[in-house]
Amino acid sequence: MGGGKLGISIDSSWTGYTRWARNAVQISGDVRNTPVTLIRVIKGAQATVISNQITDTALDASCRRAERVLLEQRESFDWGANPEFTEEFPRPPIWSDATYNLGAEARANAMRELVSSCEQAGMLAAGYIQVSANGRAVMSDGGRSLYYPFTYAQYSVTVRDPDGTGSGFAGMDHHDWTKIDAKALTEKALDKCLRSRNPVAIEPGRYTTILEPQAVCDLVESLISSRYNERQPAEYGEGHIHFKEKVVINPGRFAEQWGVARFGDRIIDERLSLSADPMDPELAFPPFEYAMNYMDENARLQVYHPVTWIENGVLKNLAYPTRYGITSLGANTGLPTSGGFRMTGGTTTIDEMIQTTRRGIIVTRFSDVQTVDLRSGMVSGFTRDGLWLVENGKISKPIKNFRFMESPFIALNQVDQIGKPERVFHPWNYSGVICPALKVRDFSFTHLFDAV
Amino acid sequence: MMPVSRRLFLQRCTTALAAIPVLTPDGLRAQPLKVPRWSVKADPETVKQLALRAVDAVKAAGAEYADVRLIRNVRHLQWDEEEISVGVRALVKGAWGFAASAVWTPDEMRALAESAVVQARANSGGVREPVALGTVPVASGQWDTPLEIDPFTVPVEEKNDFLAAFGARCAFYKRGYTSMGPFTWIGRKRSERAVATTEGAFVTQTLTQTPANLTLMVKKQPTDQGGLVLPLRRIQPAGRGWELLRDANILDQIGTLCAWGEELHSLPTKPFEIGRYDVVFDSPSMAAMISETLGTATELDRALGFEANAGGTSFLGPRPLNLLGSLQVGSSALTLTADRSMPGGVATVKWDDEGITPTQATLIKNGALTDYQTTRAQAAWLSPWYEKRGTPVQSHGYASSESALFAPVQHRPNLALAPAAANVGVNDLISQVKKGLMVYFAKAHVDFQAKNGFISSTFCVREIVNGKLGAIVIGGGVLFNSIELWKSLVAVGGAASAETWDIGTTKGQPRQSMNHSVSAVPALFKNLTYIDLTRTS
Repeated sequence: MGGGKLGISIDSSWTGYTRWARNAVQISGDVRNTPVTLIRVIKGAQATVISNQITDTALDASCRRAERVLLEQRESFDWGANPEFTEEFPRPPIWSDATYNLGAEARANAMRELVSSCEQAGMLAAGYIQVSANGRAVMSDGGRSLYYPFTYAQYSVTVRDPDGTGSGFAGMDHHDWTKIDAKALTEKALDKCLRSRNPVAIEPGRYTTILEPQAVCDLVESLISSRYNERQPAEYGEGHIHFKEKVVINPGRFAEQWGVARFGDRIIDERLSLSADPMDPELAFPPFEYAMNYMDENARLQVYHPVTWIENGVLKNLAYPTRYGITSLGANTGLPTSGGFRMTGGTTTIDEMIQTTRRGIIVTRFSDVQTVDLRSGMVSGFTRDGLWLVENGKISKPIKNFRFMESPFIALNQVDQIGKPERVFHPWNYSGVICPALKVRDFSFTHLFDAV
Repeated sequence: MMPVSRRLFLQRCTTALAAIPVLTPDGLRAQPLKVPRWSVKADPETVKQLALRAVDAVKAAGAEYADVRLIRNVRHLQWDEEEISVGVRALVKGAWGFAASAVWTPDEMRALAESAVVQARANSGGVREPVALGTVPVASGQWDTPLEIDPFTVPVEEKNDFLAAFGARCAFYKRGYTSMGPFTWIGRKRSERAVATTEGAFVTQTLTQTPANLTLMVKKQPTDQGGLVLPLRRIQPAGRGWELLRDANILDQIGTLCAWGEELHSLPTKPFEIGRYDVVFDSPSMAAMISETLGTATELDRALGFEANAGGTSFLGPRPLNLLGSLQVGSSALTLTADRSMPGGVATVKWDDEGITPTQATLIKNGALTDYQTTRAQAAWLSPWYEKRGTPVQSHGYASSESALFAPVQHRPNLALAPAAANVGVNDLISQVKKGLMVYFAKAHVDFQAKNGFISSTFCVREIVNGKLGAIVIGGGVLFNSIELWKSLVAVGGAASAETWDIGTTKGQPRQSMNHSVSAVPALFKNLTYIDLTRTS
């Protein structure tokens, strides 16, 4: 079949991992894969075929299959004569030999050393090291092709008391394994485990809350996911953001109600800024998306350029797909988000935050966070792996976990103190997070629950 | 190909088919495209030779035990996907190693086998608790999901005609008010799996599914933007062929569901009041509740801390042997079984990914905890319990893997909530309630031990007053502690009220996803806490 366009994307990868639990290695693995996404477009009808075979026969079969699938597609959107990806893309240095060379032996040795302190303390460690080397390639039939190699590493550990009364967690991801201080992270998780044992119950309610950087990441992540950070069609007004909400007016009946903020509005604390830059020396990430994320994008490349979402509390940018860019902004590209971000704002240490708290709570992380209400941004989830009461400037006792119900928009407008940004555990889409600790007023913990 | 069913379906539609503006350049439809079926040679003999080559190589490299999987996954959902994978898992001095790739060649089999042993050897210095695999019968054979109509033989034109006719029929019920609902799709999945072990087992299976989501929408006013979205029933479980859709009585369902939608639109609504209520949950709600709470908590690896750094642990831990046989997790009306033989179940296989024939497990019997979900190495962890009961110490056969790129882990099997012996229907349960709530299509959001959670429905909740359904209640949900919840279970529906639903889970590191079917009956609970999580009321 002739005519139309073709886009191919390949994300070849080698992944090495070592997993342990109860202070012993469970398994380590070496996995190689070459997923190929082929997008065939004729007159706006699009067919996507995914395979992981790269022989000539296989690629030919994929192409024929795509044309067969095209027979059942409609023409949808007129992408017009907009040319293929012409933009330059950033080239962050995200290859690390140290990551690439962390083989099974090295990982097993690292793990044994890391586990020994937990064992000596009579605690049980469960953890995971994963390293990968990826070659991300895209090609269009216009002849343009891009290839980008990168590595990625992650480390996480959960230390638990054998009686199940205490638990601590720490983790980090980075393209360079040597930047991950696994020993320090393990000591931190062990310390949290030991100090979190035999928690007592306190009343749920609104508390002055010190959120460690991991907890800030877990809470704020939803702001960067596409639901909030999404620009809506221009007929609702240029520069407005719309929190599209599925409101249950009558049972199961969905209507759309719009919350509105304009670019230039201050929406969070004026000391805070939120941005993402693939060239960030501490937070570099692959400069273009893998194909799966742009199946609705007419086989167009999604390149990540530096972007500031919120500057000094003021809304500056929102993500949008290519289609919106073409129809509403006269642009040729979209503005995608990689899911990672850098939040900046302050220099207060966590110790200083504790010392200046008369009564409050300090949180390690949040887990199972789910969106409850799109219009207000309300999310709910659980505290996990270490929760303490702070009284009169000191951590006084470990407390039982809470369910929380809070909106990042509300919490980020009730900030007392802001810490120094540090990198946390956010290994999604190879794009990490750097954020500070925050002391927030009146954070809402709604229910006590005694899971550990 | 079933031309009869297609013609019959079209005959019963009294409106013209909606025209589908598909791309059909003349001449293309006339000539069927010759699409190569295989991107690699995957005939049974080739696969067997590759598997045996890997087994020989891993033995030669020094593994005490090893298993090999060659899997070809095909998914036709919103896109068309084929994934070829091979994985070797080796045990050396009590430590596991794993190697996998997308390459099916004899040289690669040897390379992976050797790599798996290298991985295992690197780990053998860190062994704490020995891996006891026990002995299992050596399996051999071939099994296919029983299908009447292979969904892969149904031409896309027929599928499109089916969907178009479905949409037309929905629209026809009440013009302007009813239509096909969002997220309506029909897909097909196939997993061709070969498992070989160093003990001589060799089994091949072709597992086929026809996953589908058919919904219709009923508006209150034609000018409304949205409306009530009602999912069709009896199109899950998906472990069947196209006959699943043919036999789902879709035309009658459209009529019944549209009428139900109209009834719901006509009802008064009221905000809920915080309090304690007797609650009747429908079958899909019960399926979600069972799987999220007890389905999660009875995964033995979770209970023992092997998932602590991933999904979490279990409230039925950390010492399962102290709980088995003594802990009441629910009322006597609660019996929960697990199996991988459920006809049409999405986790239904003849052999699991360790080459073991799955056995049924009674996880909860009349409210008492009696078993956990296990794989081969895990069964040994409960041997004192099994020996006490005089049952064999053997895997339940719940090892599974998303593809051969993943080492097998224990994934949730099909679950079944035992129905009442009597012929109890949901109306019988409703009639027993003086002041309560009827909850439809709820979901449960549990914590990382499955210990506590919140059940809420975005579909519909109705009040029950003196045994009769009343107004629609807006907002709120059930806050629960898992054991207290299941101890509040008073009555369950009979066998005729059972329906089966498809639920997905993720597990392990790296994370892998699997599905399982849950057969659930509606049920009545006493005195549950109904609150507003957002505390806005």
